[in-house]
Amino acid sequence: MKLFMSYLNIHLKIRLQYKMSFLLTLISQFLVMFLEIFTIYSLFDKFSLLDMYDINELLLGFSTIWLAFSLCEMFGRGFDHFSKLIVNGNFDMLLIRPRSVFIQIIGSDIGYEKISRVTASLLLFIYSSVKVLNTISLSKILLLIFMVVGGIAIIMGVFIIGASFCFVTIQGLEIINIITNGTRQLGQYPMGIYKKVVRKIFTFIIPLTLINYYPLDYLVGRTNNILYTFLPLLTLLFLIPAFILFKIGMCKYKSSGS
Amino acid sequence: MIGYISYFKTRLLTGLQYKEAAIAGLMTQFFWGFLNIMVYQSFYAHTKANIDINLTELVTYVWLNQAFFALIYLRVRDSEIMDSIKNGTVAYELCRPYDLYWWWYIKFISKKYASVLLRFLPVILLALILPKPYNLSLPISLLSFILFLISLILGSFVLISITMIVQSISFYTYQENGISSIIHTIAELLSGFVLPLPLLPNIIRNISEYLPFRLIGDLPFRIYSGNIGTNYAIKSITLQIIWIIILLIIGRLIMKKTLKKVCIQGG
Repeated sequence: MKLFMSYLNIHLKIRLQYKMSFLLTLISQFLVMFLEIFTIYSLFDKFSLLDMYDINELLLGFSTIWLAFSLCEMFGRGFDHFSKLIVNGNFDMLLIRPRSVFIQIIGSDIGYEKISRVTASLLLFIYSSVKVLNTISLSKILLLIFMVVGGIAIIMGVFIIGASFCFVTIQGLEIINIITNGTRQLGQYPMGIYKKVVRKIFTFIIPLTLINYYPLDYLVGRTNNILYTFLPLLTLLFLIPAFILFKIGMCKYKSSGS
Repeated sequence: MIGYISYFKTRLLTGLQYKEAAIAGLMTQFFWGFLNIMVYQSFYAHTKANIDINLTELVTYVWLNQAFFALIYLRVRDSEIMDSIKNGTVAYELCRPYDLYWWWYIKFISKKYASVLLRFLPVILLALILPKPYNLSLPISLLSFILFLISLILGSFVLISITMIVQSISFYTYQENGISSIIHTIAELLSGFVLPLPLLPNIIRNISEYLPFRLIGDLPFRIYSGNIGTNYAIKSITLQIIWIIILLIIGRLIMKKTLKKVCIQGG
């Protein structure tokens, strides 16, 4: 933990060396996210579907996935850009240090520029969940927290799987980007608009529906099944194959640097 | 003039070497195409509202967008020119007996064309043979196809002229990402890159009428699918030419100002 804190500290100092650039990056990062929510809103408005999907539920689903995604982009940047570590041979250095490899990968870079997205989506998340909840109960609050935890588990899992492929391919693969960004892109719309097949994929392969589709039913009171509260935690299972793949990859690793 | 043309040829041939990158890019293009169509399809399936563009036109729009991605994508991925300012090699470029504005203009445009030449055919061919709701339809008439080609090429000039302005601003401020990224984000919205213009709220559509961004991709793609009529298309093509001239003048002015300020770094 102490090690993690000092990593946080170092990377903040690096970013603050270029204050103006950092500030402008913060703004542009936020703008991109704002544009996404704006797009979705205008689509729903244009197609006059806003009576079918409550705007607050829409915002809640959107902010859940973005909160999880931007947190992962911030703290999981080492995995997201893992090919860099492999290509320049710095991964060797991590292996010989007497600390956990995972914490060192996470500490290799902290994406502070994502903090504007984290803040914005957190505010949106709180706002929309207050709006959506008609009665407040412990189980609902727990569910909201689990939704974010579940979201982080999914996205982090995707990041780690992507990183494991880098052991074999060395270069970063375009397809990994497609999967990570595609997950976010599809996850930000309410799952209800998709066909059954697509929804099945997002339940059993990449379990997105567990964090922003089924939980919503419980939050607004369409169902009273208490088991729904713990549904998002099932996504933690997604991390198991991710870790296994990463371990396998690490065994296959051959250094590429000098 | 001959110098500029042969520079264009060399750069184009260099660009055509990056075949692996193109294959990786193709996959992304296909995937995003499918993804967008899937989302739009679900919207059309649920709505009874009257939309200014129908699903067939929209699907065509999406595929053309993917096929000619490089010609409409505003962001500049490589930092070759910025680097030349930072490490001082811009001094060599200034020594050449050519106008630096046009030199860089050609550098950008040849890169764009190389990228498109490598990618557009597979996307178009595959999109044409896809099953019904997912397929790219043929242009509605020969005339609209010709107009599409003209406006697409003119659109690429609009794009590069804008790129030159944004790049010049970033030389001026020495900021690669900040300002240009903000400009690009706004421009992407107004150009119909994020969401086709007919699907955007009317306020944004009205604003975009007065700006050049929609002339890059939105105009040619809608001419192709017949969403824009011939008369309006010809009017808009004239507008494209006017905008290109305006943007060239602005770009050259900013560039002149920037080059006065530039100090050669490094030896």
